[in-house]
Amino acid sequence: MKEIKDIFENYEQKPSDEVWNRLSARLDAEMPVAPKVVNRGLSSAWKWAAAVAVVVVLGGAVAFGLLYNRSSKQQQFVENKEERTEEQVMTEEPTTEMEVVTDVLAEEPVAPAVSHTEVNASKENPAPQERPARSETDAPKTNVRQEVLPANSTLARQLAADPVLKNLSDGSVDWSMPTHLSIPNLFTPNGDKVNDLFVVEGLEQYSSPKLVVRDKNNRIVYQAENYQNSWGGENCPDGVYHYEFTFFYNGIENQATGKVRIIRS
Amino acid sequence: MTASNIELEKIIAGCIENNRLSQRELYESYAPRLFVVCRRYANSEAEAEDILMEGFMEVFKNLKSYRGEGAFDKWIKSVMVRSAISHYRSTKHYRKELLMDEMDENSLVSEDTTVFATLEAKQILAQLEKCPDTERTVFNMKAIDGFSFEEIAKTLEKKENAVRIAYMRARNRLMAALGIDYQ
Repeated sequence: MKEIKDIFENYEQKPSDEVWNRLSARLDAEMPVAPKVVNRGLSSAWKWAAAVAVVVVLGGAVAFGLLYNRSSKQQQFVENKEERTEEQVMTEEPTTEMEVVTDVLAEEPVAPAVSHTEVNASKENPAPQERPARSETDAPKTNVRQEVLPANSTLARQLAADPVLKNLSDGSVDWSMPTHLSIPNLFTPNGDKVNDLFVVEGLEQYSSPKLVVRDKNNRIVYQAENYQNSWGGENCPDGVYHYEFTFFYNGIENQATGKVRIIRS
Repeated sequence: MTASNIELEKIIAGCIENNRLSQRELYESYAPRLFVVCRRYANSEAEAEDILMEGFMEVFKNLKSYRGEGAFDKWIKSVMVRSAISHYRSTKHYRKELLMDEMDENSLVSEDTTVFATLEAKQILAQLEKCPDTERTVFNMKAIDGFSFEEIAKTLEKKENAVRIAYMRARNRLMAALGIDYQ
């Protein structure tokens, strides 16, 4: 006997086409679209290929750079060697008009130990005069190379022709530069004998130090020719003042400017 | 089934990879048969389409868990039945609870469905649609999909006697509607 489930066993009915459209919309919404999976696989393969290519190119570039550097260094070394031997040969010649010249290398960086005021001061200096002077005092710190120039060399002739540089080695000019100049940015003139005065450290190394102090309204509140660390902020209320410190060294005028704060309490 | 086993395996693999074409293929080859299952449980073709869609979503989501154990036909059909039952449960709040009336709770329920043998599926479907949801669902589960009353009661969260009565009523209703005399 046939049961009811057998009746339905082979019975089929096609649903409307709309069902698939709705189903595929649901699939798109709830499950990521299939073609992307295939593309992702491909693209990741391409990414790997690209990464490998980049690594290869970079490695090649680095290797090339290393090789090139090495070869150029070798070249430089050879050139230096040749120069040295030339110099040695020339210095061995007995010349009476030899001059000892201190020369700062072109690539010398600004001396690291120079204080801010010193930098300020050196700005005003004519460069060619300042250079050898500094090199004498800071010799161990700065990258200074002493060279013995033959008198008939081009550089020696140029130096001799220069009115300033020609006396560099005869000792008539003291090119030594004070290494210490410190101007305070704050002092407390409250009568406790601690930091009561505007004291410029290193002042004694300079001739005719001149100090001009102005307030915020640019009025001069203190002025002294030949300043001797004596200003105590008299008649100046607490606040910020602007100073101009002018000093001479070896007849060359330098100026340091800045702000100083007066605090009493 | 239209697809041979090897083709079917390919299609299933494609579906697991979320390949839209494979999913379409699977749908096209199984939808006509499964749509009948849905129609048995649904009160209209529209509802049957909803059940079919939900069922296929479940199929595509859970294809990974089908490990080739047993026939794929049975697996996909059981997924569809579950989909229909969960649809029935989700529409529970629209229905009045089954009323226990004067019918004897212990009356013998004939499980014989051979009385419908002479009928066509189309006719039965037309009458099933007119049945109340609970009666239709119980009748489907018992008479066609082979659940026991106990399982039905558990699944639908009803008392077993209520399920029996629902089945009885559905059967009587169908027989009356289809012009089959009681034995």
